[in-house]
Parts: sequence; structure tokens; C-alpha cells
Amino acid sequence: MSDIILEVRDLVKHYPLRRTKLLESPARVRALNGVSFSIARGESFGLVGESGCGKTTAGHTIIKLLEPTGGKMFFEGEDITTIKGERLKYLRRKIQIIFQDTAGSLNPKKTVKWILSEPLRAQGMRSRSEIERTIRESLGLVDLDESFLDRYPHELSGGQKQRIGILSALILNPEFIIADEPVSALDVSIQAQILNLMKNLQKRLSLTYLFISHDLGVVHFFCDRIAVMYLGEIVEMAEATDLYANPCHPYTQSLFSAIPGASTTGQRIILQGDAPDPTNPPQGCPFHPRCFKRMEICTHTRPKTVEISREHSVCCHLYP
Amino acid sequence: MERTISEGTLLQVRDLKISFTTVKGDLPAVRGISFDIGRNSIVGLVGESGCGKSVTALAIMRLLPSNAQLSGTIDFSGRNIVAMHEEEIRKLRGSEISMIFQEPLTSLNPLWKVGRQIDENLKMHTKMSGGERFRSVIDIMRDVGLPDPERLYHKYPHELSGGMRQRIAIAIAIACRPSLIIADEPTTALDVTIQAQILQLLKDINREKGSSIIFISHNFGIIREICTSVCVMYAGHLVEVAPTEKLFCGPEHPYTIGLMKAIPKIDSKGRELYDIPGKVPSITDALPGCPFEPRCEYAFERCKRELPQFKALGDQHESRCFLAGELR
Repeated sequence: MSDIILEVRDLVKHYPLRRTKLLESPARVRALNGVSFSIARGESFGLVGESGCGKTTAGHTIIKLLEPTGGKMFFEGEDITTIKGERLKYLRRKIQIIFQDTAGSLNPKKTVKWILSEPLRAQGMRSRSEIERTIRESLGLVDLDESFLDRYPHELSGGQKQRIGILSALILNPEFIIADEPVSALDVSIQAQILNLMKNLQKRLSLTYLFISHDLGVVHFFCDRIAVMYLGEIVEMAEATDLYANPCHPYTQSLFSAIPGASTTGQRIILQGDAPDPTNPPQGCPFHPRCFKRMEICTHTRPKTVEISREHSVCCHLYP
Repeated sequence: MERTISEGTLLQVRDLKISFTTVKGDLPAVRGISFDIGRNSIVGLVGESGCGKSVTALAIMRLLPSNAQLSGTIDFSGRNIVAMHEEEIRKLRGSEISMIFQEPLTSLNPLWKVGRQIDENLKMHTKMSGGERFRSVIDIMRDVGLPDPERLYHKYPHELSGGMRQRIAIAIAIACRPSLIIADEPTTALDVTIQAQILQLLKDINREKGSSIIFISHNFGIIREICTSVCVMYAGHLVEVAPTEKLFCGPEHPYTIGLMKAIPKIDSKGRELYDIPGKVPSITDALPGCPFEPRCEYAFERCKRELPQFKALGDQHESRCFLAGELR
């Protein structure tokens, strides 16, 4: 693949829990356990999984809201794992994030104009007229007009709030957008509007997306390549159409079959039990306690990631 | 809309209107809806947020706040819930009609052990002794697929996972073998794989215990999965009613058609998703004509002035559109 914009190598993030015993080191939540992927410029890369699988942690670590415990991250070839100060500020102009819960991420006491001007001021734009002009010029990008500038977030509908959320990410002209469940809180008809908007913006502004979602239908629609995460690890990664046509990991298979209404005829796989506790992941393959194709080897040996065809890798003992 | 009362009807809602008295005036949340729930059926109530589906459910439980005004009738096995005394409705709630809410963490009491919360329902509505109730609670917990119920009985809600909590909420709901269960977005807060488990459980309850279920959701996929028939709501109105497969194979209201096109599907990849232009009307808007008219691509002059009546399309399929049957 040519022109890789972001590369993540063996990313590890552990959250220490509160110390419960004096002489023992505290337990850790293993949110990311060696995650590797790379994203090409202009592509939409999807990260799917259930809650607690580490997908949001991955997003937050890349934009350096969290410090990684281990591993390396490269943005446009530069090692960004430990950058600080001016370089970090520059990085944050290039990488922006769209949050899921716009009601929670937009300051309720400030107007839309203030919310949109904040990233500009943070990046050092001082002139009021320049800030104002930038905002007015960019509103059209998300199909809003100037009448919105003096409103407060509570005066906006869910879809409008998400448009403001998107615009406040775009206003610095970034190249890489991390979209963390951008449409999960929206109604179906609004969700379609936002997804189309994001697609169009991608074409117009040549953006690259890291799209994080639990909704396989949405991810499949939106993304070129998809990585499926389970308990802090990528269990399968492939091109979207390939992943759908030929899901190899039992977890991916069960996820696809669990999409309600997706298959009215096909065999439905209903997994037993809950996802395990990430402070104490199971021995061997992390998925084996719920797996319907479990073998003896899965209980004690971790599977290795193998490439089964071009651009399609899977981490399961079924594929030696 | 006239429908005859048949033997198999459990709940009959006629011309139900709900409005809220506020400082901004009376806000109509539900603007006159009628539907039937048959015995042993699962009926979906689907629509986007603010369309009045949850308010309808709360009206059936008579759980609306005091500033709500109700008119119309809700006939439950021959009794009108709207006109019932508080005492009467209390006896009905939890025993004959019960409810499962979206977020089990907020609907369960955080200070009570989960077993006691199931027990409370039995204590209220049956004459069983303590020992009988305990055995009964254990059986119910086993019925909803909770492993090791004797141990879980003594757990608090925060000690359980999201899926287990929702199973507890379902156990409370089915404890007295109600004839009607209202499930208000019961799987929205859960992961897909857990959601599949809970849907299966609700289907089993419907089949084995014969409870009818009103299933409220905004997710058409789930509705298709679980319901026998579907009512589509928009801006306080019912716009289309049909058996599930009929609705999915041939929707006859522009709103339903639009919604279905807006869901990302496997074959929609690479194309632009259809999006319904505009947004849902606000509760304060006066809607003299069809509520969907401003967003409808088929709208014509008459839609602005006049609210269409339901048009029967055969096989219990009805749509509230002047053009129903001629749309495609």
C-alpha cells in the first residue's frame, strides 16, 4: 500500500486500577493488547467491536488524549508516540476527533460561534475578524447557515449538533479524522444525512477517516477496510466487502449474524455469555470461552495473526 | 379507522390523544392513534425519537406525569385503562401488564439485591409464602437464562453485566405471568451479541408463556427480527400498520419507504444513502395536513390541508397516505 498516513505498531494501553493490596502491584485493565494497523491516505478505516473492546481507547491514544503504555505510532512517517509541546500542537491540527455524544462534547454555556472559534484560538489565531471570517466561510461545509452562530447547543437538534461537532473538527483543516461513534446517538433518517455528509466531505477535502463504531452495518457502508476488535486485540482485518463476503474469525461470523434483520434465512449464531473481564482476560485465545468452534489448543495457546489472502488477516487457530 | 373487536384482541387503543400542559401551552405528543394488540402476538411500535412511541407505552401503564392529559380509550381485556382508579391500575401494573425499560441500570433499584426486586413483584400480587416465593424467584431467574440463580439472588445490580441486568429486569416483568409486556427499547443499551441473546429470550417468553409483547424500537432490523406486526409512528400519528413481512416487502407510506432506504445495507455500499430531507416537526408545530408533508417527495396540494385517513390495502395492511397503493 502506498502513502501510509498513520501507522500503529503493537499499541498497548493498560489502565492501572486502584491498589487493593499493599505489597502487590495494582490490577490493570488491558484495554489494548498489541494492536497494529496502518491507514492509507484518503481511506476510511473502520474499527468495530463491542463495548469494552478497546476501540475508543485506540482512538484516544492516537490523538494523544491518552499516553500509550507500549508500542509505536507514526503519523506521516513521524514517530508521534512521545511527542510534546509545539509538535503535539501541530499534530492536533492535523488529526481531529468527532465525538459520539455531541450533547456532552459541546459546551452548553457557549454559543455555536464560541464553540467553533475555540479550536482556532487554541491554535493561535488572534484576530477576531479572521476567526469570524473562517467560521462564516466554513459553515456551508456542513450545510448550516449563519443564523446558527448565536444559538446555544440546546437550541439545536441532534443532527445539527453533530454537524457542529463535525465542523469544529474540520475548522482547522485537518487531514485525518477520528470519528468515534459519530452516528450512534442519531435517528435513522438523520444518521443517513450525517453519513452522506461525511462521505462528501471526504471527497471534497481529501480526508482520511478512522471510523469507530459498534454498528457493523454502518461500518460496512462507510469504510474501505475494517478491523474487528475483541478484548483489546484485532481478531480480523480485511477489506469491507471481503470481510462481509468471507468472515473468517468465529467472532466476526457471530457479529455479522447478530445484526438484526440482516439474514432472515441464514443460520443465526447466538454467542453464550458476556465478554470477559478485561482485568483478567482468559488464557489462550481471548475469545475461547464464548467461541462455538473452540478446540483444545485455544484454551492454552494464543493464536497468531496470519494473512489468509491479500489484505485479509485473521487471528485464530482455525487458520494455521 | 374502524376495526372490529375480535376474540383474540387483548388490548384495543382507540383515538388516544396525549398532550402535556406546560408554560408554553398544551403540547400534543400523541395526536389520536388507534391500534389493536392480539393475544400471543408481538407488535412493534417503531419511529424516531419524539414520535410519541414511549409516551404511548407509558399511557398504557398509566405512568404519565401529572401534567399529561389523556383522551380516548385503552381497552385491556374489557376494562378501560384511561378511566381506571389509581387502586385498580396498581393491581394491574406488574401483574397483568408489565414493562421493561431501556436502561436496566436506572430502572433497577441500586440498593436492593436483585432477587428481592423480583420477589417484590410476587409479594405485591400473589399470596405466596416467603419460601414459595424464593423458590419461584429462583425458577424465574433460571427461565430468563441466568446461571447459578441461588448465588445471583444476593447480588446488587452494579455487580452484574449489562446483559444480566436486563435479564433481571425481564425476570421482574414476567414474574406474575402478565398477559402483556411492554418493552421500551430493551436492547438499545446492549451490545449486538448480547442483544441477540435478549431478543431470543423475549421470543421464547412469547412462545412459551403466551404473553403478548409491545416492542418499542427505532431499529427496523430488530423489529423485523422479533415482531409479528408493526405500527409505524411519525410526529404523534400512526402512519402505517402492517404484518411484519408485508411491511418490509412492500411499505406503503412515504415515511416508511424513506426510513428503509436510509438504513445502510450491504448492497448500498459505494452509493449515497437515501436521506429524508428536513427534520421531524417540532411538538409545537401546528400540523393541519399530513404530518409528513413537508419532507415528502410525493406530496401534493391536498396533503397540506387535509390529514389523510387510513387506507386499507388488504391483509391487515393500512397506510395513512392519499397515495397508498399507488406509490410504487
